[in-house]
Amino acid sequence: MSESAKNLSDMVTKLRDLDNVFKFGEKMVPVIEGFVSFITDFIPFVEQVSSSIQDSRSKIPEASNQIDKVTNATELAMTEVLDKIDEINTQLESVTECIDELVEKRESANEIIQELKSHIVGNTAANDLVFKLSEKLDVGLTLELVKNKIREITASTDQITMSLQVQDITAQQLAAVNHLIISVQHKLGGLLNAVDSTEFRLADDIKIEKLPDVHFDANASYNPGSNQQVNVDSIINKEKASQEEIDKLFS
Amino acid sequence: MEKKFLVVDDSVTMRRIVVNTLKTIGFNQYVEAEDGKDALDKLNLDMGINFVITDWNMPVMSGLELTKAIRSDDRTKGLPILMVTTRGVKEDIVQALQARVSNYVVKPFTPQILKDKIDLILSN
Repeated sequence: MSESAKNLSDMVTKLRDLDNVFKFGEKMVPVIEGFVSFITDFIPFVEQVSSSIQDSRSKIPEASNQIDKVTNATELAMTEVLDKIDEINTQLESVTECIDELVEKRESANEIIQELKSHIVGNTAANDLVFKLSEKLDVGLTLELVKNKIREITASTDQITMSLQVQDITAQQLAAVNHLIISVQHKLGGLLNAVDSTEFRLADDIKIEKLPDVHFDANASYNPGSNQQVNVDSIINKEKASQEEIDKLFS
Repeated sequence: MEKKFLVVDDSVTMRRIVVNTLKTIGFNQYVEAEDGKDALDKLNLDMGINFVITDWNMPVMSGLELTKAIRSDDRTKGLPILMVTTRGVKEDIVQALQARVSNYVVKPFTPQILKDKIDLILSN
């Protein structure tokens, strides 16, 4: 084959290749058009997501603030309850002192009655009157009942005081929730910047809460009837025993 | 000599409850602190404190850090420390024992539990 014939043959091959490319391009055009259409439709969706994230994020400081308010209000209310309990206990102490005073006076009155009896021996009418007086002054049982009631009230106020420990436990649970939502705010902030990293977004005026230090027990729970303390004591005893064994090995 | 307690807790309510319980069981001398650092400041003031009751989870300085600080200071290392906390899992208890707390009470506690623990510590 001559040089020119070979060149023509190469040209025909390249033209065929080009033809194939065009044919492939023709096939690809609808796909590209579909892709462009998809991207065009997707942009408003991304903007909507971005706006939604921004909106959610902007509400978080308010939610966090609300939780802090609940904690503070509860603590204030608990303090008021404890103040009232202190008042009740003080009043109960006063009542107990009054009862003790009454008991002392009754004993003195009994002594006087006994002395009186020795002066009216043989006087039946006077003896009857002294007997009736003695009966009227016999309030020992009633006073004992009142004292028992006071003890019951004191036990109840002690129980209320103990139950108020729930405030500390719920405060820790709320602090854990607060920490969680502020963490979500940070994550949303990161996501927002990834979705739209223009200057406008980065310079927005949404306040990002600093992640608070963890100073709560996220697992705090209020289980007054449980054997938690028994379990704790058992662990302490076991741990101390094993430490003593280790100490013995080194002594 | 009557014991003087240092009650350390960031919750005002819990401090009140512990103090009220101490009064109920016959201890009337106490000082309050709102976190570990505040407690160390009060210990440094040499107020005659000879028993510490501390919470674990507190801002600024935790009860565990406070325990370690007390144990590492020659002036305070012998103080009885009772940890009163919501943390009741074994790992926490072991950690507290390693920091050398004298005993451990889990919340919510009863006056009897607090009294028993204080008596036990004092008897040792």
